[in-house]
Amino acid sequence: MSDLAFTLPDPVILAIPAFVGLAALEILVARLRRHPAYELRDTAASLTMGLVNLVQAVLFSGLIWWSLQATHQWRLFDLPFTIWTWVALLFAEDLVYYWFHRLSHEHRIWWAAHVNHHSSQHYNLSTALRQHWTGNLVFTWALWLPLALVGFPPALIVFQKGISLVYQFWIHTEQIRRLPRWFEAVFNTPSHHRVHHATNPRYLDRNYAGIFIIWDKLFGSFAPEDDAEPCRYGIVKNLGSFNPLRIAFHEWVEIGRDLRRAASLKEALGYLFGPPGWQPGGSGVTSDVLRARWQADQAAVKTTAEKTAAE
Amino acid sequence: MALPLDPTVPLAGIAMILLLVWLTGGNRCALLAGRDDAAALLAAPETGFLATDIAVSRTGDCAIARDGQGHLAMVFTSGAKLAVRKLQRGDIATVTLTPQDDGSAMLAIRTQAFTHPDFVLRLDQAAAEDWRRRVTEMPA
Repeated sequence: MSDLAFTLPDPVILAIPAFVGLAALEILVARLRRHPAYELRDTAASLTMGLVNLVQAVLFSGLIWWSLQATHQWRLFDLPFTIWTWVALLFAEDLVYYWFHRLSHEHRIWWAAHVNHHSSQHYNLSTALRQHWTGNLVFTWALWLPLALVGFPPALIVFQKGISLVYQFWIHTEQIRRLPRWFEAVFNTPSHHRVHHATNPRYLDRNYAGIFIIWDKLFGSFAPEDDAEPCRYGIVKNLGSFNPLRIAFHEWVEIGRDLRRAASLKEALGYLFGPPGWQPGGSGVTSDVLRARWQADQAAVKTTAEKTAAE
Repeated sequence: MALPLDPTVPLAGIAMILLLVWLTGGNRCALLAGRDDAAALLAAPETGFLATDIAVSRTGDCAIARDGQGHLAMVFTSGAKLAVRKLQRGDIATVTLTPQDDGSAMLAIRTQAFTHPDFVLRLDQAAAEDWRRRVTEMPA
């Protein structure tokens, strides 16, 4: 089985020329539309993040490969290396990705690794390459081990992870507004993913999908893009920095500061595993708090409008 | 040992993209249009800061705002975009005022933030002194 790892190509490596070509095309299209989508320092930061991510991926590949192989030895089923196994894995891996992504937003220790992907106030194809440096250090790769335990061949799991990453590249654009309705209903699209990158309270922590948007609809985290409310990209507390080191480590520094002032183990665990924004005593401003405030404001506006109409 | 990827491919790609971005005007910087611009950014639901008083730096790249309870927030340029930061009393490291020859003053606020810790506003001297007092007296 291990020989197969070397027969399947790495989709990400193969796609690099396409990444460059599509980004170049997007820059020119945005320019022609007189709506510049790129900024030099922001793009440089994103591409540097992507390059270092490639390096760390190489460094961790041995450990991840060994873990998948070791887990696969305890597999529950012998799934053959066939097209149907790949089709099943397409959905199974995407389901794993959905939960990995959701955990990465809902728990601060994993958010600290993922936040850099959201730290750009721009939304373009270079943002897709603004990838993590520290995700593997907090064991996010372990979420894929159950696939090997089920019996999916490790080489196919690694291949499918690459396919998913390549798929998610092209959806980081404002140049495509909407795709055919059937496609928007099933697949993750630029429209769905713009919502995911927005800080508007109604859009926060929504649309975690990788390839299929169906998981968000199934697990209640879907929000459609409303053209009446344009997305404001970035994070709730925007960084104001293009330094890749600060982008990669800012949330870890903040966690360290919070842990130093934690009054108890429970508080320390809250800072680590609570949602981003969590503070002791319920005083933190989390995504849920922001959404609840926004909903209350909307309800108040609606009530006022109804009263005015009645008078 | 052979590398899994020829590094010239991504490096040449990065160089090409950055050149294209630069050629298409990608080194532009945002400027604040005025108080209304700053107030609108602060009032966005994710920030929810309802400013009662705002001072915009003469340089147009920074503004300071105060709400009804005396809390303060900054609006600042981050490349071609504008960003917002609520100030916390415990985060303020230093506040300095430097008078200028033209009657204005530079108000420099240094915070302990890991990203973008420094804010500099060029204001009329009286306004700068007033805002310095507000920063030092900001409630917890």
